[in-house]
Amino acid sequence: MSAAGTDRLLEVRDLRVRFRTTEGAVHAVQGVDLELRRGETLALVGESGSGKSVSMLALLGLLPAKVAEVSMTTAALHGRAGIIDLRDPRQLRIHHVRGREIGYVAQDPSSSLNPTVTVGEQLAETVRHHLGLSRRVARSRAVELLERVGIADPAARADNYPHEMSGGMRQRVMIAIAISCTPSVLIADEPTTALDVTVQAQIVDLVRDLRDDLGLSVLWITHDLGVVADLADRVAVMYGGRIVETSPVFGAFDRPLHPYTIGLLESIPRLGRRRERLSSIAGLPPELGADLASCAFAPRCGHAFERCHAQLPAEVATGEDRTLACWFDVEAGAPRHG
Amino acid sequence: MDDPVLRVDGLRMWFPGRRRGSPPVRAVDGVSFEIGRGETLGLVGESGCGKSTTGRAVLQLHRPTEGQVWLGGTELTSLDDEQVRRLRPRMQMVFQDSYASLNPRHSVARIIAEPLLVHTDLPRSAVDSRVLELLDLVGLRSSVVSRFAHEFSGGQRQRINIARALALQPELVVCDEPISALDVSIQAQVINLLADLQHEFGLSYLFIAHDLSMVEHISDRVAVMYLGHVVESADRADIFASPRHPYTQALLSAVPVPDPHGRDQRRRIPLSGELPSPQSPPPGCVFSTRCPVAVERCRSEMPVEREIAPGHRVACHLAESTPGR
Amino acid sequence: MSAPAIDADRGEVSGRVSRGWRALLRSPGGAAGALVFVALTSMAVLAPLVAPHDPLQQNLRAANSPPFWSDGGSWTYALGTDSLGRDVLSRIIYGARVSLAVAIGGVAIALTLGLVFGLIAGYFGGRFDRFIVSANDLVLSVPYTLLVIVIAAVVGNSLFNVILIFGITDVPVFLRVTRGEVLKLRDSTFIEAARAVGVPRRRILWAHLVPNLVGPLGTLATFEMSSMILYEAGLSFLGLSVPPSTPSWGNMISAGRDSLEVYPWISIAPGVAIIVAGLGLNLLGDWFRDALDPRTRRVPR
Repeated sequence: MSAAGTDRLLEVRDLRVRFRTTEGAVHAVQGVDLELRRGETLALVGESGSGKSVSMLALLGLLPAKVAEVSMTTAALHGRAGIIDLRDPRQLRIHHVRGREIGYVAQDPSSSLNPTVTVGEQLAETVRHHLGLSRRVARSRAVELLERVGIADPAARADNYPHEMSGGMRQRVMIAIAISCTPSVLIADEPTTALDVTVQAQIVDLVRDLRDDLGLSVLWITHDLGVVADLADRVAVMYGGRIVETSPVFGAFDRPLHPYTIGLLESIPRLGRRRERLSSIAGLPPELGADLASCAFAPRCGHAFERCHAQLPAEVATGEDRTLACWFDVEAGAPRHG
Repeated sequence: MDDPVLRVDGLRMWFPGRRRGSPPVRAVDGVSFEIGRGETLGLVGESGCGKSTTGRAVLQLHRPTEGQVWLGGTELTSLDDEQVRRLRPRMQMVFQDSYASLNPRHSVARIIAEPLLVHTDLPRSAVDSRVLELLDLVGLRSSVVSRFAHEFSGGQRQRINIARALALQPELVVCDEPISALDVSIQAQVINLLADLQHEFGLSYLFIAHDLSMVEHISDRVAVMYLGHVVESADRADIFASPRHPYTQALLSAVPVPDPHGRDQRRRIPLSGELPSPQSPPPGCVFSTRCPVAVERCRSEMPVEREIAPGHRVACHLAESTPGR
Repeated sequence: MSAPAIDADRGEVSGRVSRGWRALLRSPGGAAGALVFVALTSMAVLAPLVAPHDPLQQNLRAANSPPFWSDGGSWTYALGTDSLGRDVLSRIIYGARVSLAVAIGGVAIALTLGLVFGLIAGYFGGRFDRFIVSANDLVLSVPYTLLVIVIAAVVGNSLFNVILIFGITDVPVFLRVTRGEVLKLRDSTFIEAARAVGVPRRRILWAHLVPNLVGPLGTLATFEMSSMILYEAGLSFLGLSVPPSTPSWGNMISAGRDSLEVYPWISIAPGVAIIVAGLGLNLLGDWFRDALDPRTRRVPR
């Protein structure tokens, strides 16, 4: 699956998530294989219902067992002290995986920050809990972190409550919390989706900066291909609970291989490149969580043929560090062999 | 422009401050523009710029604090509520939140029929057939008539919203971020639908959005807003090819380009500071507190909008000297 | 909940109603509550057909007979008889009429008045709102039980009076809930959309707001019905509700009070009836409220 010799930091095999609801089982994630290499930025791209957010929550053990059934064949993090099995809740706890090894930035800072506690205190609390720092040291570290994420006048800001800050600032606080214990991995779930474009640009710049500075490996979940092009080294495209294509970023944009990826790229308008009509992907996003034994994209795919409706395409390596799950070869214009 | 569908002149929308005695929130502070027949004006800006409030003030959903709004030959701000209500068939709105803008207790048929039931005396059968006609127009199957909002996806709900807005053949449709909440692959579908309908019925759109690439795609002219003011307005091509206002330039430079090539060379114009409060806008140019090229004059004197090229208006003291992008 | 693909030809109203029934049956509390409500209503409506005996008929020879499961008991008087030989079971069945009449009548009055004034206060605001809320708070500030007892003592025993009293004193709760919901809904986007369409105000109130009030008010109604049954029982225990000749659960308990140690069933049986009715309606209300809450209903996307 990966090029030989690359340093695998995070490895996930066959991640499956099934929600139990009153209306039956919802298969949100159906067999996802992921790997994050040391120092790289991997963009996980998909629209609503693709399962991208749920995958991350499952990986971090944030889905309550009452509601979700999570299974993974492998979920290994190469942490500071050796390999940690992320499937084991005990190991998650002992190694302070959430916080010390993996920093997580959620999509909506308003619901992730405690509205009744100042941001400085929330930061200090994090470092106290994970790193065992004293109150005084934690407090000064909190101010340091606020400064690091570009918040002006950090000492004063530390005493602000979340609602006293703008959306962009709150997201910076979230990032500060995420990197507070110098994790090796940063997982960010659509951190800029709710932000204005100028603020988004600042946040992206900030993350790029921190990434280079702290040697972070970043897993960035998004549906915005512009941000992907800006930040990512590698791209994994998700659709209907599965990964349909992975590729280094240049290949993904220059030579997309999956009809969904192609469709996505063609349907976004680009500044300065005006067309009469935007080409769009026909049909609707798939029903959430149907357990299909065939390609989830087939109903909307212009290249679909009988095999697509009958058999689930397997994810195969196609060279140049790329994988693809599709029965059709778009470049040859014919069904794939094998 | 002669015979514009919409003419807005000196529009101000001030909301009372939260506490008694606190200064008003100047959400819209002196906005003027025109929209011709069959034309789309894209109104762009970030949160807090007042674009959504402008849309609502134009439609008299908020009664403007000051200014005039002309719909064709009729001036709206001088009319009373009932008179405005009777004019609504000519001016409609498509809202951002496709789910929240549909009554969860009403069926699709009921929702789309409502404008007809309220404003016309058409017999029930005529209303029903018009509903089916509208559904067809927006690309929905007639079998959905008895369904409810929560049974549809975002894109389908927006189609319902559009069908409702078009029911009485308005001249003007204000689209308030109609696609921002939709999936990327669906946005194109809805935009294409809006464009098709515009062609077919000669509709004029006030297209409010923050997604600059989408705005460029669908607009004929674009106006950029910041803190309640229009800072620049021009034909679509001009504003993207040679933006003259520093804010427009910064905004355009911040739009992520879906192309990894050259990403390390792309320069973003950084904006320092935070958006000032609309309750206490800076004296002089509202953008002066964050502008990378502001000079003394900018901080004390409010720039007046002027035409620096045919059809290209900018509110900036330095417009002539600011190089285009 | 995912949307059905537009291409899937379902062709009919999705099972909104049928899903409601299925969900009800799946919840033990809800099902039990619904059962209780149905039983209560049936008993009340069909009393003459269901009751084995005339509730007023005395049979001194059979006075104080125990229920069928004790020695000396028989199936003729399944729950025994009271000191005048009247059949307890039949009196309970007829007593349901009183309880139900008060519950339904009282809630009907309170809901109607609360809805109307709550709508006015919430939607129009300003002076109307201030006046209505003050009046509402005034009524609310008086201790309920005291108020009810005093009024009942003054106007005298009659079912009609009791219904009226309960109805009026319960208006504040319905008004509050209505007003709260209206304030919330007034600024929602679909109401704004209705204004944008040009829907006149009156139509917005009746066709847009009211249908969305059904849920919260329905839930409240079930809880209030439960309360009213209990309060009525209390009142008739004190002899302030219906005249003593009409059997009601409360006055049955009162009548059996003196012989509680020797002939306990005379008081206990109606007591159990009150508990079951109150509990059942509360369970129904609980289920109703949970069913309406989008968060407890389904897994978020």
